[in-house]
Amino acid sequence: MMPGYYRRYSLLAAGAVLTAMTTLVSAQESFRVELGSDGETIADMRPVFLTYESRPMPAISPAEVARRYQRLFDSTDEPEVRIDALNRLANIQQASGQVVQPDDAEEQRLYREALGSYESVIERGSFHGKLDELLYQMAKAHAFVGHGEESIQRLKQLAGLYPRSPLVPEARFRIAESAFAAGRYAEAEAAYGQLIAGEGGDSLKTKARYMQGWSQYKQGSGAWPRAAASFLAVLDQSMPTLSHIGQVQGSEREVIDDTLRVMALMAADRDGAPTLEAWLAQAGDKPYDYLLFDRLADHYANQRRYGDSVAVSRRYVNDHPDHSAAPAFLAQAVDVWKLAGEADRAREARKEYVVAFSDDADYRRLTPNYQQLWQTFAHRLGDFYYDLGERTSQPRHFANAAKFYEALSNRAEAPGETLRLAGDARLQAAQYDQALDNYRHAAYHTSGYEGGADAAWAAMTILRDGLANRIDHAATLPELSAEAEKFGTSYPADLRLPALYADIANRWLERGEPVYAQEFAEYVHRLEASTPEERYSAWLVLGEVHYTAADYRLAEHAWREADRLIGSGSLTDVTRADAESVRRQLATAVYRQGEVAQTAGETDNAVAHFQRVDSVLPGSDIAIKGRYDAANSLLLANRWQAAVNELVRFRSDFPAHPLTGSISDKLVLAYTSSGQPVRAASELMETAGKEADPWPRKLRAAELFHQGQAAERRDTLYREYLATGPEPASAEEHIRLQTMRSRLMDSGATSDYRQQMVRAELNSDWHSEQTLGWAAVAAMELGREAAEEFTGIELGHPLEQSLARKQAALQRAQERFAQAEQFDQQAVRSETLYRRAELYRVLARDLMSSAVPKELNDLERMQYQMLLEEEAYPFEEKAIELHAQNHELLANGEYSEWVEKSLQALAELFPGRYDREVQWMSWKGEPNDDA
Amino acid sequence: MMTPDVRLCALLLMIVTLAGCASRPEPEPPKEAVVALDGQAVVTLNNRALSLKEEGRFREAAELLRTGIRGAPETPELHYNLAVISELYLLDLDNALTHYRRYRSLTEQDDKLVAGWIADLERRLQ
Repeated sequence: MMPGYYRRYSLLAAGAVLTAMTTLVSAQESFRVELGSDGETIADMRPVFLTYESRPMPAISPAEVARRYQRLFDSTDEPEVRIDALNRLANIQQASGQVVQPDDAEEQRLYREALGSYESVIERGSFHGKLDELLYQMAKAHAFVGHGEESIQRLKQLAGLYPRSPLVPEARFRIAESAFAAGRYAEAEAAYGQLIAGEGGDSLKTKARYMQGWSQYKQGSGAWPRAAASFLAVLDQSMPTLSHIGQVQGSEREVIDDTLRVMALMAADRDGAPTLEAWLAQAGDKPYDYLLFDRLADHYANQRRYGDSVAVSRRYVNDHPDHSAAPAFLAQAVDVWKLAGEADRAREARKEYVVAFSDDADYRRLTPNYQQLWQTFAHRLGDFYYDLGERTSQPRHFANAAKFYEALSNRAEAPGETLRLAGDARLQAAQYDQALDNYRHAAYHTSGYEGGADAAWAAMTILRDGLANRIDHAATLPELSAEAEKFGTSYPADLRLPALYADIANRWLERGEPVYAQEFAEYVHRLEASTPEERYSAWLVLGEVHYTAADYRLAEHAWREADRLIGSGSLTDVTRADAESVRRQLATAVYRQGEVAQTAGETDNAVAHFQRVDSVLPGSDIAIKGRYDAANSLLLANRWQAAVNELVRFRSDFPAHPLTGSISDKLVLAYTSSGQPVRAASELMETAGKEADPWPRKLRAAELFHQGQAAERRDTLYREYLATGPEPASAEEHIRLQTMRSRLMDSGATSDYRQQMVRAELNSDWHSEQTLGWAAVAAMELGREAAEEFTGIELGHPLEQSLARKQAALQRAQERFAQAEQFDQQAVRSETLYRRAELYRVLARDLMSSAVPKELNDLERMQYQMLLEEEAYPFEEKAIELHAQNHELLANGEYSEWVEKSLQALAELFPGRYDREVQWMSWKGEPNDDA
Repeated sequence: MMTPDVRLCALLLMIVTLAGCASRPEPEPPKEAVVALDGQAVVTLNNRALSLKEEGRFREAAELLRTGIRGAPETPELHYNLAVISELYLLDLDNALTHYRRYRSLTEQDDKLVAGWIADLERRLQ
């Protein structure tokens, strides 16, 4: 049955109507016609002359009036009065609405007695009223008391005698009904036809057509085309247009329903829908044609011919796809298959329904009920395929489910859950992009959806899994981050958010993007719901970020917070190694602050930072290094004494630490820089013995002893070192060795070092002004010593031997003086000239004054003397020559004590040329000419 | 006429000035700057020049002596000392010969020693 027509009956109920109708018709009394609420029986009809029915009721009760009329009926013998009383008695009930009528037995008595009155009136022929009415009343009375044949006879009399009477149509109807009830269907068809063809009785003509159809139907299938035409005429009468269909009410509706049922019966008995189509083709288009097909489908269903039922529905929809009843037909197919217990076919029918109106324009044409039905079907289909997918683990079923959910989501008022289901289905089908779209839509574009956060989280999970290659979905960290921020904006109170942010912060950190890592870590701290574990994770990230950015103060803060959380006992998964790592990083951050302060020249801050590392991680390597660098900061700031104190304390506290090995050098620096070279040297000597080669440190110590004027300690080291016979490998080394010798010479060392110095300088490829000068001085001193030795050798007998020794000494002295000139001629030339000249002068003098052998006689003595003079003369000449050369230096402006001494010697050796006495003058006080 | 004190002061001033400038070449003083020296000034000048010679400041000594000679050209000691310094310390044999000769001409006695030196110089300069 069609919606909008009347409330839908079940198909089984529709079948029951047919049975009830048949029973009613066969059992009814000849004048009783059940046509609905307005179908009056003859007994109910009122005489046309009883016109007072609308008057006001008398002041007495209707029951009292009824009793009075009944007494009047019983007390009078006048037929007219009794008929009138009977009519009035009936009208009182009509007018008052009260039950004042006597019971059935009493009424039967009244009408039997009234029949006598009617017969009497007719027989007397004295009735002054209309005879057609009297015949009608008599027919009614006969019918009432069960005299059906008499009643029909009176009606036939009425129709025959008074064909123009307004009572004729009803009389004909009653006659036809009587024939129908008696099974005389052809007679009934004709009688109904007379009524339909006659004048008047329009209100009965529809019923007559209906009954004519039934009369034709009852005559067998050969008469069914006529019956169909009659029934279509009935339907045309009630539903001439589509708009009338919805307005059919009451008994008319039941007539139409029965008409449709009979049409269905007839069509089904033939070949169904084609028969209907043939009848309709003959009758022309009907606005209600779909009702015929619907009833036929119902009939098939009722007959358990489910396939035929669905086929009828589909046939109509195929022929009329845009008909407003199309959704009902398709929906009915679902019901039919359900009724048949064919779940699969029912589901296919639902799918057919959903597909048929999947287009938006088609969907919009559906009534709200059918739209709701569409949604229900779509949801059930989605659920079905989802379940199927879970049972079979086949992605295509999930994909199918997703299609239905997605289609439904576009039309549901609250599509959130549907979208989420669609997302789940796409996820199961490994269609991640579409899953994301669905989840995001549910999460961020569906207002009021309580599961929005879960949908958003599902999207997040896809991205995380994609990022971790757990699923085949390319996801990027920026994409995940953007998703997380959106999640946080929309669901800021979600308890999963802090862990998500912490996770992303760690991912950014691993990727080497500290800015983003910091951003998400700070998100964690802004969320009240963050757990200690999440905050701990975020602090670790911030620690790393700030450390990488060299912002060690903030890094310290972060790690200190992490350390505080560990100490609070609120973390469950932190191992001892984790705690130690945090402490180490915290200590490192503090240490780095010390470095920064040190670089900035903020010594006090640097020292404070370095020293407080120990409070963070007592006894650790970094704490020890902090102590060490505190001292270094003081060194860099030239705060020598403070540095010395720290360094000494460090060495005392950590004597075996590797860093302690460098303390000595730092102490040396501090001592040296603070003007304590002897302490510096002593420090070097303390540690020199620990070195494989102690001499580098010892020589540094020697230099520092020299600076500290600790010459004795210095010279000891020099002597020890020179005793090792070092050979210079570089100019610097040569200079250093010569410096040592020079200083030893200055300290009054023996001539050994002078000889070493001269020899080293002669043998060296490297020289400096200083070494040449030192060597010149050494050579001069050696020369002077040789000259002194030369002078000390007396020439005695045998002269040859003593002279040989003296000449050898002269030669040594000459060589030393030559070496001195070789080293530094400018500095020593004048002295060497003088001393060389003196060597010859002394030799000449000593020769001249040497003892004459005693054995010589006078002549021999004189000859010997002459011989000596001859031998000495060249030496004296040589002496004069050398002194004169020295004197000649004056030409170059070179005047020295040695020139002056040469001049004095020349004055003795060559007085005629060089012995001059200047003339000092004295004032003798001569008188002033002017006095 | 200047008093002796005034003349002595002027002379000392000149000596100091000359001594300070001896190390750098100075143009010959103008003729009109020559001041006649009295005996005391000549003694002072001569001895000061010899002191400079003792200090090894030979050129200053010689210049001072030349100044003295311009102021007291007839003083033989000045010529003698200038000749000695020129011969032994400035190795200016020509100048030494000149002033030995001038000395000899200013002295009345026949100094054979100086005559020998002149002969030696003349020989060395030939």
